[in-house]
Amino acid sequence: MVFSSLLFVFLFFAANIAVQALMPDIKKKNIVMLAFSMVFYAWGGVRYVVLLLGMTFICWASAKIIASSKNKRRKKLAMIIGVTLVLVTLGVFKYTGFFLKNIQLLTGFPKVVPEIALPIGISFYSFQLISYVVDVYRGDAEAQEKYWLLLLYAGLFHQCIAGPIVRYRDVNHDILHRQVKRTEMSNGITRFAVGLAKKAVLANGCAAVADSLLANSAETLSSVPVLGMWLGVFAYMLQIYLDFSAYSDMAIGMGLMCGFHYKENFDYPYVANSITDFWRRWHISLSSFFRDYVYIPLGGNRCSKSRQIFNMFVVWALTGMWHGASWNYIFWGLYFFVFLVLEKHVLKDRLEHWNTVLRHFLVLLIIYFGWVLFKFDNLSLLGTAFKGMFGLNGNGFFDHSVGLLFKNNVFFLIFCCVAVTPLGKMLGNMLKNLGKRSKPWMYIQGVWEVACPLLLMVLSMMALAGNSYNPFLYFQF
Amino acid sequence: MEQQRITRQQRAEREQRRFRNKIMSLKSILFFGFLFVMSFIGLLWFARPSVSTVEKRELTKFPALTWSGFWDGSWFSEIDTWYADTYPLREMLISMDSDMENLYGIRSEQLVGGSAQVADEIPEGTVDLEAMAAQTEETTVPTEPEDDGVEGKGDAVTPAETAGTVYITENCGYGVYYFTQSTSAKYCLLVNNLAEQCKGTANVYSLIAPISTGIMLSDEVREGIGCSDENEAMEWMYAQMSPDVKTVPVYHTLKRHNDEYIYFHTDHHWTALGAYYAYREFCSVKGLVPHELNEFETYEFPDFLGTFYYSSNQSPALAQNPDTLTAFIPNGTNLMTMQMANGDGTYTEYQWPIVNDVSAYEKSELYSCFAGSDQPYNYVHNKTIKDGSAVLVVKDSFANAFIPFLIDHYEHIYWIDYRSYDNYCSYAGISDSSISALVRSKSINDVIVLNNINSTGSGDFLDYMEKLYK
Repeated sequence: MVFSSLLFVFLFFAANIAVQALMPDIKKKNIVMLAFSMVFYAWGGVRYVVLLLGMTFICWASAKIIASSKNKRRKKLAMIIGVTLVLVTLGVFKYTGFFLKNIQLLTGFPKVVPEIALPIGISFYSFQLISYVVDVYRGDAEAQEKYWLLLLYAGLFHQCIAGPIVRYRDVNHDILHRQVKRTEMSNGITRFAVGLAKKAVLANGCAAVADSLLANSAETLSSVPVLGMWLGVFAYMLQIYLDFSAYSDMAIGMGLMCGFHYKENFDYPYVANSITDFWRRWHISLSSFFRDYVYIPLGGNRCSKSRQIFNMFVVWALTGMWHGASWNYIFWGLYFFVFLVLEKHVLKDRLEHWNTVLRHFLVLLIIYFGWVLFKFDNLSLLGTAFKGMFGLNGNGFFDHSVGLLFKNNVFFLIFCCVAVTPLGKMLGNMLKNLGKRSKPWMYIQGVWEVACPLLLMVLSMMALAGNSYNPFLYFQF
Repeated sequence: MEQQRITRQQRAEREQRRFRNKIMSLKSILFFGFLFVMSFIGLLWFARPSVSTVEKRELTKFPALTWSGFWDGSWFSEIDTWYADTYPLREMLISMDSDMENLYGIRSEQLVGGSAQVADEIPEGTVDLEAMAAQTEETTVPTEPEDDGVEGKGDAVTPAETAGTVYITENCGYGVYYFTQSTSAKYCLLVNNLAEQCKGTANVYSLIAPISTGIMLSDEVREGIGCSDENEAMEWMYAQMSPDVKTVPVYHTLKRHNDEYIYFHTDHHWTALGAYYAYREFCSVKGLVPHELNEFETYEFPDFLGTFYYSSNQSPALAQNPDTLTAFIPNGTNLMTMQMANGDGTYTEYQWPIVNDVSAYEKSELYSCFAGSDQPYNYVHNKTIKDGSAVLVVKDSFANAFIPFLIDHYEHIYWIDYRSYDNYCSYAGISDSSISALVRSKSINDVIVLNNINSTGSGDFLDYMEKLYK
């Protein structure tokens, strides 16, 4: 099930809110949350629930051993076994096909590469479980006695399939003692509605533009003119942020509506003024996971320069790999590794003296080309795309249909550009402050506060209905 | 004084707090109220539609539970589709969405839907058709967009033509035609085979109907949206056809009349007037004297919003420019016998008007006034002629507007829709569904193969034709 569907919003989520509200105590609320989460997860295929149950069991047992054992070596062994089992499971499901395909290319063996379907959300919940086991080992979190409560943490439908990667120690308190406050409920409503509209209206709209230009066939892609390619990647750049951060918005919003507090996962990454800054703002829960569980254990900054660079290399290769089992993702991770090393070890403070506008522009340009790497997991298509961007496919510079596509969506794209900046948030805060100072503004702010989520819900519903059927498929005369 | 100021400030703060609390409560009440009302509407199973008349298709049915679907999740994703596809307010929401999207940019001229396709070069001169048609497997770009798991009404009755990309300018819609070498070569081969089989029994005429884009738009605009040159493509295809095929070139005739109302604004078909000019061209090839328009009585149906309107997701630009459909009633007779598909694999025979009064129909259904729409097998006996002459039209929907003009020239008029005739034959127990068998059994003199140019390039449609042209 995806958040941006009529079924989720008007059946699943509505029922979840209603049933939960009827439950008298936290235990019953948790049982309800777990039941709903299992149904939600089973929606992607009941077989994957078995996997989630199994992986959670491994981590639950390993944390219990860690907590109950006095022997340091035993603790360590339990941690290593737990984490290894999770990583092996993740590896088998996510990377077997990729690994064997590359072996096949080199040696011609095996003849047939098995197609293994990727269980939904496995990349997210397996990292959550790893962080849990390691935190218990480090003494940063207490082991959870009850298996079902750990399952609730790993499988909670708010964040189980698209993040953020929540740490156990950050939600443990909420699982056991959460309460819904009026202010948080109100913030949660707005946050959820903003997220839904961001996905259903903005991200899907950008996707429509991007998909009509960045085709998945070499023949079509090579005929797209230069400006078309640039417009397509631009729309894709907007789409990927709006889409991904919308899911986090909805997760955070739903969490607030029932008393969970998830950390922010995106902080307006496209206003970053360096690549380092970008990665502080993009998918924060993933970068901090790699920082805490890979980079720092490897020695982090407190080692020789060459070792530091090696540590960064490992982290960015893994970051790339985490996004998908294909070379382009690894290249994408390493692409950023190069720029980060450049910023950290070559340019250093000199960066501060650069013209701000120029610096910002360069950062966006680097991110922009990064998304081309990210978009095409077929390397020959990737080559075609890069060539096309510089007119090397004999594809011309511009054509009428690209001009039309741009004209038809120009206001929408401008709006999306504004939506990826903090401007909306700033205006909201300004209105709030004005409301504190004068009565008329207080009323205006009040009306806006109530009307805004409703308006966004209606817009999202319209867009979701519009997407539910592709009118180009069937024609009956 | 100081104290007074503090209490005033405190009072103001308290008031503000109270207001904020009220606002927050109101916000929750309205938000959850909205959520639950919409959920409730979603639960009204009896209000869920099963057919969309505007989209001309059956909506998704609730999926049957299978163990494999349950285990791998496909059953659940079908429920997702069903829920959204049959949500009671869906069509209204889509129309509102279209109005909103109209604000996305400057949309006086637009290309809606369908990702870029690439047309093949139109070759020059004659070629080895067999070899070119054999490239099908490697090079054909699929003309049917990807399947989203939604079953179309066309699956059960007549497989549907696709509209693909729609170009909208000055409140009129236009389709885009992509020439494909392999499929076009195959089309010519099929028509040549038919002529070979009918040699000595019947004359075979080929009439390829252009779509509005090539006729109504300038070459510059047509090229700008990536549409192939229809004239060049048709001339090439006609040149590949054997001397036994009598070709009916209509492109230039229609182009000469492009200041008249010969194509719809909101639908991809030609109007009856467009079909009439094609009919005159056929008469001149066949050696008949065509009737003048003033010899016919007419029906007029206003406010027609056709296929382009729905394939552009109810474009507000097209809604401003609805069509008026004029139909010319044949003089000899206006009564036909048709086999209508019931949708479940069975057929029922009806006596039906050739040009039907559809004023009570949905505004999207008006083109079905012609020739019973797309039924598999149809027959008219024009008793005013007693020379035994018989014609068979093998057709897609463009022929529907053309057929009424033919009625007055033959005693027996048959037409079959090649997309569903084979199925009908299996139902009716006709063992040989080939066109040549039909030609022999009904003593047909003339066979007219009439398709619009997009059908000549559609791999799926060619597969249907292949079954009948054996």
